Amino acid sequence: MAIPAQGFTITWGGAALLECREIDINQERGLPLQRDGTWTLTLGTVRIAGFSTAALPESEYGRRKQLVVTSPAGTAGGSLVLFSRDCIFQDRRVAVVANDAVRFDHVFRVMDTVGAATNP
Amino acid sequence: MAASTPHDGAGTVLNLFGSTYQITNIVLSNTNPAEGDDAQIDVAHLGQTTGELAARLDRPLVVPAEDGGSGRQVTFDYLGKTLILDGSTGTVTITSGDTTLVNGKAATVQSSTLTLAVNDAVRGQAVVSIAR
Repeated sequence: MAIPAQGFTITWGGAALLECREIDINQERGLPLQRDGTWTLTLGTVRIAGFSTAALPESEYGRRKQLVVTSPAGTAGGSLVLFSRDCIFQDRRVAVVANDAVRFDHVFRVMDTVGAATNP
Repeated sequence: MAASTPHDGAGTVLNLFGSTYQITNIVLSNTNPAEGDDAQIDVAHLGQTTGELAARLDRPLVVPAEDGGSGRQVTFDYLGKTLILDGSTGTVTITSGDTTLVNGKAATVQSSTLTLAVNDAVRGQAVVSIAR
C-alpha cells in the first residue's frame, strides 16, 4: 500500500525538524576498506530540504546525532521508521532570494558502521 | 416609447491627457496585485497531514499585476483619427452622467491601435494603465 508523503516526523537528536519539504534517503554502501573486513567510509547520505531551521541552527553543523524519519501513523499498518541512524550534519546550504522564503538544504552523512559487533 | 435605461453607458465621458474622445466602448478593470497567482509562496511541507490545506506564505513584496504595475486599467474604443501613442503619460478622468469613475488619476498608455478601413469610420482603441 502506498504511503502518502505527508504527516512525516523527522527528528535530529530527538528534536523535531519542522517544515521539511523534501527527504531523500540514499543508503548506498561503499566498498569495504579491507578484504576481510566490513569497514566502509560510505554508508550513504540523507538530504533534507525545507523552510525551518528550528532544530538545525548553524551551531549544529558538523555534529553527530541520530536522525530518524518516521512515516505517519495509520498508513500501511501504522507508522514506519524509514530511517534511524547516527549521522553527521555534513552540508548546510541556505538560499536567500529576494521576495521568497528562506530555504534550507541539509545533507547528513550516515555514520553507523556495518556489522557494528565486529567494528570499533 | 423608448424604455428608460438609467444604467446604460450613454453620457460617459473620457478625458485622457486633456482631450475627450468619441468613445464607443469602455472597460474599466481592477485587479488586486496582492491576489495574483504569484502573490504567495508554496511552503507546503511533509509535516502537514493528508487532507490539510497546503501551506502558503504571503510574499514579502507585492508582485506587480499583469499589466505591469497597478492592476487598474481602462480599455476604450473611440472614433476619430487621433493616434494615442504608447508610453504617453498624463491624467485620466472618466465620468458617467453625474458619477465620477476615475478622477484625475495618473495614467500611462500601454498600447493603442488605430484602424482605417474602407467604408468605415476611423476607429481606435487604447489600453491605459491607471495609478492606484
